[in-house]
Amino acid sequence: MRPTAANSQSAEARKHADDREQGLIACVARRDRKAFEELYLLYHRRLARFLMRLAPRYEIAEEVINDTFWIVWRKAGNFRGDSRVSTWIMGIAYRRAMKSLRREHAHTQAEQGDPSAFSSPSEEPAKAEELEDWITQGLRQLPLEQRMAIELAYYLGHSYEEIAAIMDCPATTVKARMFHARARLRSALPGLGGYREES
Amino acid sequence: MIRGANSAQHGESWDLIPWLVNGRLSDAERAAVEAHLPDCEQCRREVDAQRHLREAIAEDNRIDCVPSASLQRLWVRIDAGESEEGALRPEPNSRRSPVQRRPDPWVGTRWLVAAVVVEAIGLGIFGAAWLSSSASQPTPTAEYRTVTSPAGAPPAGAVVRAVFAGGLTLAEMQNLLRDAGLRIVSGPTEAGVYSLAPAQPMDATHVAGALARLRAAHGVRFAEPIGDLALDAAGAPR
Repeated sequence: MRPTAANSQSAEARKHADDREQGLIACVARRDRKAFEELYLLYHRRLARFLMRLAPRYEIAEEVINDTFWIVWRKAGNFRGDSRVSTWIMGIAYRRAMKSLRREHAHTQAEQGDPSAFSSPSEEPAKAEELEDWITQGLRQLPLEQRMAIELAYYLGHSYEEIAAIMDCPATTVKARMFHARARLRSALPGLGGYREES
Repeated sequence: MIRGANSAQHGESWDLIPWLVNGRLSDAERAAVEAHLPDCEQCRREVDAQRHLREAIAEDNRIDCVPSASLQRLWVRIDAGESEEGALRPEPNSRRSPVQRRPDPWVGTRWLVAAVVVEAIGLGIFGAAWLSSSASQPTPTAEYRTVTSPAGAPPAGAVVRAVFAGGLTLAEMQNLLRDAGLRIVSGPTEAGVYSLAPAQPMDATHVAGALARLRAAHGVRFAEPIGDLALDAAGAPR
């Protein structure tokens, strides 16, 4: 199995990664370019993957990543270690992504008149290798905040407290977003695992 | 029917299931959910469903990217910002994408304003480099280029830039291009971008149709038109 994101990490591995990233941020605050590049490369893939599932165009994801790290470069000195580095960086990326995606969404509405430019997924995937696209289509039916909550939990492996910090909302709101996202997916993807038995 | 204390326990467990499956509950929370599961078939089915969902999302590694090109562009932007900070104003005609050019209700924070200023400088640097490298072209170009666009002039005849899904096979890519009436003239760049030209001369309507077919295709991450200059070079009638 290929490594994916933080979600497969043990608590010990997470602690080790956190310590390393805290050290990198401290170096970045002192304008250490090598440390910045290491941090950038650590996050680029997971951010690209996270954003490409949400952004309709590759350029938007790239723009958000570089905007995020432009802020990291400038604000690293303000990071006090009150949260994990990953929560801090993802919080910046989340705010940038929401702005870009809302702007893009408004543009799509203005141009197409129909914001739901995504087709409904079929009943279930025809082949196992189509599962990921089938789920992606299902996720696109969700409001942006719900989709982000799902990705933050399942792709990036964040706890609900961390997601609340990233989204700057109460933990109860995070749970509610996940609750509604799951309910919608249950309806949109009836063939997904345990859902099948309910129908 | 779930009642009373069981109902409260069920509700709490139900809400925590996503973090049971991603392994991020506290020990106490995990113990409480696991104690509830043997008595609740509904929650057990939900755990099963959410595990499937998490695995499918976490294992989707189809997006391949090479970050070094993006990093280089970011360094240009940072260096431009640091050397010019405080002395910059946005150029009135600085080229921005259609998306970026629209009124942005969020442009109220200082850093974002600064981002626009610095990006304008970055665009200017890339634009100057592009223009000097394409002095022999008949027209400088009115084409938009983002800071994340590949540097350098588009190859002759190219009308579309596209990024394909990482898992796309060569045969699938060939089928896609044949259906759209396009062929690869350069790429992939370090960022995975291909430049595509018409396989046969086509007019603007046919290019738009080819673009639409690409965008609707399963294995295409994005496809954008390059511009009129390339269309002319491809032999399309004016």
